[in-house]
Amino acid sequence: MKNILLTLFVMIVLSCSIPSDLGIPTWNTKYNLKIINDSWDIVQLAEEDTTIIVIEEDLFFHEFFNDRSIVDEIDIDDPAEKEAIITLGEMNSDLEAVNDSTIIVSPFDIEPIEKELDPFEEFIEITFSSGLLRFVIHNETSIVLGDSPENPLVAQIINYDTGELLFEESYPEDIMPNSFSSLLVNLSDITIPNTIKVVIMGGSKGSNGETIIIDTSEEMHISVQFEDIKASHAIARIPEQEIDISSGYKDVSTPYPAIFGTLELAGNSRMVISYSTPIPASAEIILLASNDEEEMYFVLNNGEYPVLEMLGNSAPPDSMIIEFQANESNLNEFLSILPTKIEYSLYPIIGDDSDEYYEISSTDSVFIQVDFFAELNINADCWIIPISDNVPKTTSENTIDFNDDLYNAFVSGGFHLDYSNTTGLRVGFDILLSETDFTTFEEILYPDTTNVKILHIPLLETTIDTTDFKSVDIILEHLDLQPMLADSIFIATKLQLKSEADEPLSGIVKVLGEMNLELTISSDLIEQ
Amino acid sequence: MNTNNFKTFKFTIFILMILLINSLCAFFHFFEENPAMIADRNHKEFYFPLLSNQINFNNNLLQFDDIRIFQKGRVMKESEKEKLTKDDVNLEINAKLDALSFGYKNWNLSYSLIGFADIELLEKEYAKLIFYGNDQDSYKTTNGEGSGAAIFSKTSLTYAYHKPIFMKFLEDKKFDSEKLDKVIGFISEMPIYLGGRLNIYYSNFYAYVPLSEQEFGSSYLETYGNYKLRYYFSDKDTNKDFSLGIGMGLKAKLPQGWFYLHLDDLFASLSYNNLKAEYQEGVFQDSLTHLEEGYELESETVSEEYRINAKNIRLSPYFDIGYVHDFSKLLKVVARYKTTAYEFQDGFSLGINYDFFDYIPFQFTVGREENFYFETKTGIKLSNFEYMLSSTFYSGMFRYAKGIGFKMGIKYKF
Repeated sequence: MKNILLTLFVMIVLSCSIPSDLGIPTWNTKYNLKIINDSWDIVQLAEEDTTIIVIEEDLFFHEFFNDRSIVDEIDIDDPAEKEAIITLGEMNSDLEAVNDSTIIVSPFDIEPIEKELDPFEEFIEITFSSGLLRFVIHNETSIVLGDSPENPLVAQIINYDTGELLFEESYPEDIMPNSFSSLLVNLSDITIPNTIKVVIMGGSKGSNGETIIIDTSEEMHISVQFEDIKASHAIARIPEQEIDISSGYKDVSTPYPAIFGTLELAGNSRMVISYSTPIPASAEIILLASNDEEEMYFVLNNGEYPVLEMLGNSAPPDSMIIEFQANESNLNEFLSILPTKIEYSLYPIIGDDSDEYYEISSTDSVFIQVDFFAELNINADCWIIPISDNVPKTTSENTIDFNDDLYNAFVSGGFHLDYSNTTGLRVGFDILLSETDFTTFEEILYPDTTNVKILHIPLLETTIDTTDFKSVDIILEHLDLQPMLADSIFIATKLQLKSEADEPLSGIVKVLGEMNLELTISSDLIEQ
Repeated sequence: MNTNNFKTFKFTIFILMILLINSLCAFFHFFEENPAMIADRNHKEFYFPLLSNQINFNNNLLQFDDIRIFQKGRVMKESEKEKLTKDDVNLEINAKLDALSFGYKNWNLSYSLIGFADIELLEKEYAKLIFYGNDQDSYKTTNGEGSGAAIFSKTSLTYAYHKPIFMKFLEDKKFDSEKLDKVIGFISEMPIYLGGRLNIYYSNFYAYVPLSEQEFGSSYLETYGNYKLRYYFSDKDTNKDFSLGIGMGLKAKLPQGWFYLHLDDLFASLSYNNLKAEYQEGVFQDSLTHLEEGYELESETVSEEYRINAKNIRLSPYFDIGYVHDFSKLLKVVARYKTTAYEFQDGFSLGINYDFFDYIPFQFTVGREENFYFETKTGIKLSNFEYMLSSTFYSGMFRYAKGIGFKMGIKYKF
């Protein structure tokens, strides 16, 4: 019926050229679509990256780690021995009346006798974590010191300034004339100032029933000696001593791409060490940068590991700083290997040989933070390929809807890019299209052009400023779309960088992109 | 020859006969619609149900010859692109089916189904974008907006006073001008027939596109493509109302012919309540700033269905005025001016008719409103039977026409 009506219509309009297959004709149309108006402000991009920072408008790679070494037990040199003397007359004043007489001295009580010791020069105050105090009494009198077991000889140590009893010990046995006896006191958890006095008291058996000539000037010698002491807190002279070694590693979070060619840091990089230590300290620091292929130690120009000479009395946030510049070390080379891991070992030594008193506790620590600031002033002539799990990063696009009709609809096309580039870095791209995935870097670096179509965006040259635009045109050939006729297509990209390290990386890349398409519009395309 | 082919053959022969008759040409009355035309009718008549109808297609740009452009897969020439983008392409259609018409002397009752549509097929700017692509930053088109269609039925009861009236009250009027006195004297003696018509309209179908916007732009601010489409139409839940309209007509005998005046569809309107409406919106927007925070390629479509309360379409009054001059019993010419709400043959027209052998009338009319149209009408006019066929070409003839119309009618008189 449809054909009949159509025939009739032909007859009515008298010999019109009625189409045999009425439908949509075919025509070519050109479309210009703006597709990009983007600016890559290097500074803004850096703010979005945790490892790239901006310092005075220049970009720096920044990575850091920190650690602390706990002081733990403090070695203190044993202080010099201190002595005191008590005469017989001080012990029993009644004997003054019979001095030079030959008598039998009956047992008597020794009233507390205080004797001030000379201050210890080695410290002001120490709280001991371990150690002994040896308390020795030489009995150079003619009487027996002590009346054990009922009334033994007792020795006390008292804080001179406060009168506080620090400890008290009894001699278990009496000290016979012209003999001596020692008491050993465990000093753990005892705090002793450098000014103390000793107190002697207790009983005496007198001449122990024997006749003796009384000489009230006879003496009892008391000596106080610290042995093998370690402190948990001290205000003292601190001799040089090693503390815990700190070591560890820091994984660098930057996901580096694969780089083929030269990419070197050439700017004013620096390593900044912030530290805090309660007392003067020094530390040798050993840094090892490594990636999957190489490793490098950080050394000074003299080939040695850096040693940090640290002043005391600082604590976060008032840390003090030591800097190592690129020109006095191999810092640029160290970071140019693009380390994925930085290992460190720190060998701290605290104390010195001076007469200075330092206050220190076992919970104190030496804190060190190492910051790497690598100025992104790059000397580059390389290709960069994004990676994922150590293989080239590619994407797969489903192109099952891209059929022959769409392919045939494409007549010609291309991209026109206007750009300004004030970064000092020339950048180009290759976008590779293939029906099979790219499994090796070589396939991307040296693609087989019989199977891979390459969309080449030439190097975007540097421009004077952001108002100075240059342009490039990229022609899209009909055959370039051929891979898209497959059900899926694999896309890989490689980025070309060229820079002579004339200036630090900074500035803006602005790209205005337009896609120009000439399409054949047909009924088949419209039905799509 | 199988049955289908035989039917096709018969139908083709039938159409060829029509064309042949058309080429021979004949005449029917120019002012057949005028209510006063039945004033002096002394017979009964009826239309053959469903065999009296007309349909017209017209567009403003493309000729029939241009249909060859639309050969599937044919590569368009540049000149053809230019033609398609020269102006908006609007398609107008009207159709009328006289389902029933019965007349008894000076009374007549008829029932017709009338439809008309005005469709914007291709807006000029839209066509440019499609055929040439984009060469400017932004396009905003309203392709299809304002398109609409309506179908309604019209039941008319017509009465014409069977006797002529005379304006005798003018007889005594005297003017200073002898010529004017003669004219007034003639008018006062002139027989005038009057008729009136009561119309009942019933709204059958309505569809309208109040909003059809397409936007496309590509600049370095953004690349976007949006469309908004809103349309409503009557469905089974729509309440369709009756409405009333009136018409009136007169014919006056002049020395060598007749003067006709016809007003119709006065106060006519089509009312619809509870129309179904749909709104569709599609948005594609790319800000091009892929690196900015929050960048998103926006692409979404929205579709919404709802109903609107009332739509009232007021039909423009039918106005027809003209004069038929009788050169002889067989040869007449007409000059007329007509405006209607739903027909094409509007405007000023001149026509001629000649009756071959008294019973084969032929009419040829040239009219112009926005463009010329050429109507030929012929048929057979017997004492108790009339058969009429008509064809109209718009804005040209034959293959160069931009529109075409057909009309036919069969009437039995007794």
